[in-house]
Amino acid sequence: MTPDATPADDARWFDQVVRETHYRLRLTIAGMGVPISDVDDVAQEVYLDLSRSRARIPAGVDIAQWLHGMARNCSYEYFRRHTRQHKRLVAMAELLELTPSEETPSVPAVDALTQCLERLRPEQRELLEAHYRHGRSIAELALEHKRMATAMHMVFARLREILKRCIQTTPEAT
Amino acid sequence: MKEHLLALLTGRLELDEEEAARALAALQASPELCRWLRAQYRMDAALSLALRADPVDFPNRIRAAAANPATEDFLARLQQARAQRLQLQARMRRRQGVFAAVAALLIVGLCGALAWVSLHPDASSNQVLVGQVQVNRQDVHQIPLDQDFTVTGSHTAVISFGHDSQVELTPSSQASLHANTDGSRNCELDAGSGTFSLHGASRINAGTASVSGENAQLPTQVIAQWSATPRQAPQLAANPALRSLEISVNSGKAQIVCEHQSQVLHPHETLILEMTAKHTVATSHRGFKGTVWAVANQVADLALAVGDARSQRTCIIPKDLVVEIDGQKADPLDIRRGDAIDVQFAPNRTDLVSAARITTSHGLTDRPGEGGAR
Repeated sequence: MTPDATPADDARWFDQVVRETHYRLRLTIAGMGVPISDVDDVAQEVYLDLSRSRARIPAGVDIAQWLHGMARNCSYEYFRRHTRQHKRLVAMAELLELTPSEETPSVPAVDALTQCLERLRPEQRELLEAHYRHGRSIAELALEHKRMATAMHMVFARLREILKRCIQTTPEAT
Repeated sequence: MKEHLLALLTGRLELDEEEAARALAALQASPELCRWLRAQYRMDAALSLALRADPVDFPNRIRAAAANPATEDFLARLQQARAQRLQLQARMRRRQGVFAAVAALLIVGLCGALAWVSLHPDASSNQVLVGQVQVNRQDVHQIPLDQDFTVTGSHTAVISFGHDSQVELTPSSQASLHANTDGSRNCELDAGSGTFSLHGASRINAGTASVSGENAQLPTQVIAQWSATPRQAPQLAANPALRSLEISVNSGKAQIVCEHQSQVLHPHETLILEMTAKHTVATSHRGFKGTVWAVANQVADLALAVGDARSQRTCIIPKDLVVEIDGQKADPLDIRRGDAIDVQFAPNRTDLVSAARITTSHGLTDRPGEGGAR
């Protein structure tokens, strides 16, 4: 941003940053353990902070890096405000955030995810859709499939693992 | 190791201290586990964003929030409040020196008092607060340590023992109180039943079992005590069970240690220990009490979601199992949502039900659409 940028330029720049970074930023926040239902609220705080302080951000600073740092601070603040065991949850979030990634890509790409979902068996896809699209709880699905809720959580964990491996081998994702 | 992270994976952030410590230790010990959990979280979010039925136009939401003067006003108010808080903190810091000296004196005094209390149990310990209790056929208000006492009369007796721990014993119950070196007390339950509130290191002992609690409130029952020899009661000779101990937890957590085996009971869970004449555990059954939240009619059995509004667990009832509904033998198909249920699980299982007692809210015959038929 140049110092003589007009408010319209400012708005266009901000809009572009949000469009280009929001998916990755929301997944980064989720990756630190913020519940899905609150990820968008935390991300909104990050962008509002950017909107307020963009004039003070020095030239040459990588905005993606700046957003990443703010996402980390806002997520830690979220744990401090919302949980009793916040010290441990912040320590866990730090571990999750700072452990070097070996996966490529570290954030699943939308196209690759869509392709990999299509490659799942119909019953696996139905299970994911029942939970993520129709909002049915894991406990409800466990009851329907005659499983313990913990076992059903592990079924979902395995499905996410299958999708992660599929995305890593999908050429479009790289 | 992944089981330590299950609570995190379910999105539950209100972990208790033990769960949080275990999860953190597991993550600290294994970068691989950190990567796994992070990938799970990210994939969970990606699936939620990709599949949700009402996708949110997030950039638009941010545009609206950033352009909304109310948001800016709100932020301005926040900044003002922060400035005021900083001023207040500066004033407080100046007074801190005086407060620190006073606080140090108070803390020293409190620590002294606590140390004295832990070494010298308060005078109200072992006191009969309500009801009638006899030691050697004499009514007492203060129960001497290491002496058997009996609850007489027709009302429950309430007795304080240890620090803040309390017991309500039913009429005819027999027990004794014993002191530990740290000042806490054990209640040795010989017969009868009681409801205990356990704090600190206080314990209940019954046979070879020992129950301690973490701020636990638990009814405990020693039932079916049989002191006759096999010769006097030959019909019972085939059944070596001498006594059984039934424990259920209302709130907090209870740890039961029996023959070097430790089990933790959570609220609404029950444990029945049947002990032989040699006081070794013959069988143990875990159980669960709660309200039926959902019933799924499967081919060979019923799957129930049982619990309370916060947590539920699955209980499987075979359709050929005869259950007890309002004191009558009944078919499991008569179980309905909203019924109170007390189940006992099959050995080594925590889902398959081997016995169930159900209490309906309006009685079986008053159920809508049942036509009164059983």
